Amino acid sequence: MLMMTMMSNFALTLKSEKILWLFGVPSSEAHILDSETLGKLFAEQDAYKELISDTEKLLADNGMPGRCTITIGAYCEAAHNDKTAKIYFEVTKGDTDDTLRMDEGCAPQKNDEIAMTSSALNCLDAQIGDRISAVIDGRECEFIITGRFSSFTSSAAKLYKDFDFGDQSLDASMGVQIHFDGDPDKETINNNIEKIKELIGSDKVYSTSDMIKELTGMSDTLNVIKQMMMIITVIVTALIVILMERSFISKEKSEIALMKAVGVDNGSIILQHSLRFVIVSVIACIVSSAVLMPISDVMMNWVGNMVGDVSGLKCDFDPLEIFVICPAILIGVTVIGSFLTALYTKTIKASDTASIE
Amino acid sequence: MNTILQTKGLCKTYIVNKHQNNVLKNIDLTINEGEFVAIMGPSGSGKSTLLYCVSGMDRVTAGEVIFNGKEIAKLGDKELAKLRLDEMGFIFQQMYMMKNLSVLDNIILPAVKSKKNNESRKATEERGRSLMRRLGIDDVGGNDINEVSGGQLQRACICRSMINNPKMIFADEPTGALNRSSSDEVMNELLSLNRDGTTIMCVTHDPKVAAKCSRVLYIVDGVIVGEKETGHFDGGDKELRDRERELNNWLMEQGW
Ligand SMILES: Nc1ncnc2c1ncn2[C@@H]1O[C@H](COP(=O)(O)OP(=O)(O)O)[C@@H](O)[C@H]1O
Ligand SMILES: [Mg+2]
Repeated sequence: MLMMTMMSNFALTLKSEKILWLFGVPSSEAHILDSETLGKLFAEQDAYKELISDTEKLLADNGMPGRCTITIGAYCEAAHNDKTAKIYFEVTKGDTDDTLRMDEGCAPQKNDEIAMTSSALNCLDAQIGDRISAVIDGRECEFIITGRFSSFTSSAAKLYKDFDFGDQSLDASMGVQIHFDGDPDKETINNNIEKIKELIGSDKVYSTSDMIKELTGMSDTLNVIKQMMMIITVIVTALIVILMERSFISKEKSEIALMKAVGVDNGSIILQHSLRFVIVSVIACIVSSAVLMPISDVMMNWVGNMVGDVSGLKCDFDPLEIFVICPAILIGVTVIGSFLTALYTKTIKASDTASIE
Repeated sequence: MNTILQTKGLCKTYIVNKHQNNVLKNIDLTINEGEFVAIMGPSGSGKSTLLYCVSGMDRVTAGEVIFNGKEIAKLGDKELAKLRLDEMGFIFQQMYMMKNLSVLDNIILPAVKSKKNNESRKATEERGRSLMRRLGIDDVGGNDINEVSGGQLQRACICRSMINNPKMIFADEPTGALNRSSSDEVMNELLSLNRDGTTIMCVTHDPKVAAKCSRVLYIVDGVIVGEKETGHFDGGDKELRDRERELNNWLMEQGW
């Protein structure tokens, strides 16, 4: 039970928009990952400005106003004291209300401020408040570390939005993020995405969850694992229930016969036998639901730490799935399993009372 | 006198390993309300089987069993269970009880399970306790099943059989596992129930037990071979000794 809901949680978390920030991009509803569009970013400097304004114009012209951001990054040599390391410096360009989520300290507010992931800090043997230097665009820059943040990219550093990469050649971008004005609902977003696909002539436009799916590729695997776990759990539960009920029946055969002799009908004996299991499984479900969230969070962060520099990740969960559907499936299996097995008590005859010892 | 139980051509056949065993052969039997019938016979003669067939615990192979005007072979399992619960009481040689219930809870179990009974649990418990008081075991109500003596347990079983005020009690060697004095106590309780109007059918091996009944049937190999009307017993020790002597002589004639 626990396993099943935990997998569900993982899968959902990795699918959810909640972890978008771990890719270093602000919250947004649509993502253009078209390589042709993005290719420009790497070829020409300052292409992002054009790209942002073009896209925003395109959106506004087609009745779906929104703001665009592009997060660009480059690997640059950084140094602190006598330590040097290649660090991924990224900056989010464009207009967003989002502030970077920090695990500790605060987000950079000036061009010479920077936030780093814990592994980046480790590489440089630096701490919040320390000064580091880096070579970006051939220039030697100095930064003060203002905070620590989580990201799926390890050894990453986040720069203030106005920081200019200049002619530094870029290594990566997460594409164009679109944040539609006025918080439209899911349906509108999907429609908008379809429209954008047409407009730019590319189908590499994703909703947030699709993009995360695309990027992690993990969520799907987890979903498959989850389904397998579900099936296994169901089978195991059914087996346990059936075996236990069988042994109960044979142990209590004389009592069952006695009840029948005294005149208790089959139905109420079966009910009583199934009920016993149902109560146990309901309790099990309640207990596992209660411990589920903390455990999932711990596990999730553990996984997150292996993939990148992630901490403070909160699991996303679908209350319907883990508090209703999973328990319902389990309890259902228990009910059916114990009921079917309990039907076996029908074969015990009242007259067996005397022949049992 | 109203007939409470009647069988016509009752046959019961067990098939074990493709081998047919005719345990009861064409039994015609009529029991009137208020009777205390003893069933005697050698072991394996089909006494228990007869008791189970007439009380609906087992299905008959052929023939009719009419209990209180109802043909029980025609009843479904559920109706039969209900009939047993509401109108019959059962006492067995082994004092079967539910191990994880207290003595009192065991006694009131049939009442709790009965749909006919709509009194509160408290009232049921009170009724259970007063039955226990009547049978002199009111001090063991809260005890576990294995904390009481055999005699007490069998009296508790009688309480259980009585809790739904049955029309008839079926007892299969109720004293078979008891010593003389417990056996006498149990028998006296059954007698007193019978005097209050409950019909009793009792399988027994013990002539002393049978001597207190109002009629004795003798079964050999699934056939009633002898029947002796002895009349209700409510006399003293002397009368009992006379009845016993008479019964013993009769049993001897039957080939006891
Ligand atoms: N459930 C059963 N299955 C097969 N044979 C049975 C069963 N119950 C009783 N018998 C057979 O029926 C016969 C009568 O048994 P029973 O009525 O218990 O005798 P008793 O007169 O000693 O009570 C015995 O030969 C026994 O082997
Ligand atoms: Mg017997």
